[in-house]
Amino acid sequence: MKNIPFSFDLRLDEEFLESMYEGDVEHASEIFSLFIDMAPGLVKDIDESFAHGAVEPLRSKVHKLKPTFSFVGLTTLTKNAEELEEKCKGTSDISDIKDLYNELKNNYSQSFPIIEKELERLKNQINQGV
Amino acid sequence: MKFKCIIVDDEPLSRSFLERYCEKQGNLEIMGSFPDAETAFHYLKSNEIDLLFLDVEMPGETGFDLLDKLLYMPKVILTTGKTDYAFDAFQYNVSDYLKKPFPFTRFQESINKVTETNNKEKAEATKEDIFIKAEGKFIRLNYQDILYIESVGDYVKYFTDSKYYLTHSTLKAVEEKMKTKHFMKVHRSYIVNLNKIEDIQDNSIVIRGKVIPISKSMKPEVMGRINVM
Repeated sequence: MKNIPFSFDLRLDEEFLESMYEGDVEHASEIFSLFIDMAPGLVKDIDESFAHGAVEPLRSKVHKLKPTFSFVGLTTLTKNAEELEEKCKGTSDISDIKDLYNELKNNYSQSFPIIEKELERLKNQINQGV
Repeated sequence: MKFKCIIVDDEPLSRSFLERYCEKQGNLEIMGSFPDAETAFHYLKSNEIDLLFLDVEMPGETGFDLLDKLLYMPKVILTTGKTDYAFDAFQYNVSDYLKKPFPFTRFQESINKVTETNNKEKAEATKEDIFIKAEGKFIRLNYQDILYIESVGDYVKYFTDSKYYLTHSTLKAVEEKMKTKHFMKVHRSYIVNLNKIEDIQDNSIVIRGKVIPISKSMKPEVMGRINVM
């Protein structure tokens, strides 16, 4: 484990990230990298479920993605996902969840580039700390 | 002592977190990390572990399906994104319930709880007898003489071959004291001495002619703890 001083982007939940990684930038880098590899595929699956009007499969996928957002400091997206998951439980009509789905999608699209940049910064920090 | 543990979670980031937390904790040895209940069960059929980190909602079988199939019950820490499973967690007597994502300090608390329980169980396992308050005095009972214990309202009855003793207590308190002494709670109203079981049929146990029901959720553990050919 490598504890190197690092300040996360202020648009991320820095306090939460610190409680998760406790200065372990290598671990943070691993997780941010995994997120970048995985999240687009999971979001695509959610889009497909939405396009097919399949509420329960969508709920199940959102449930899986929910904690993943927090692992990279996107705690607001975890809350969005929580609300969407709850809404899915009470309906089988896809139009009932449209607004929450769009909110999650928009927030995700805006946040993904931040995570990509943050991964670059983490990698640079590790290289400088060697 | 290191706890042998496995992780069962279909979500790779969650597995990665748990693996790293286990390494940081120091007293946990990761024997495997599995993406679903089926592959974990395959491993557990031929390997014994002390601690199981278990997600609930996974593709295919759920975490509770896995617990139903196990022939012995390791300590279990549920790691899930929901709080909806609290009742099931209680039914399966899990050691702790971690809602994802959780910080390392919360993970440490959980491991400390498991370690503490384990130490208590070991200490209890070295004792040969117990004092119970009955008939206006403290009476020494040898564990080997107790056949089973039955909950009756605010009281419990300790049955031996010759008589029973009525004490003011709860089955939960008795279970805490006796679960490592070849005793096991098999139903909400009964704890039995596993060494005294005469036969098991369907969902009941017979001890000295007394038919004792087994809860569905406890049956796999009962079968795992007796010596089946």
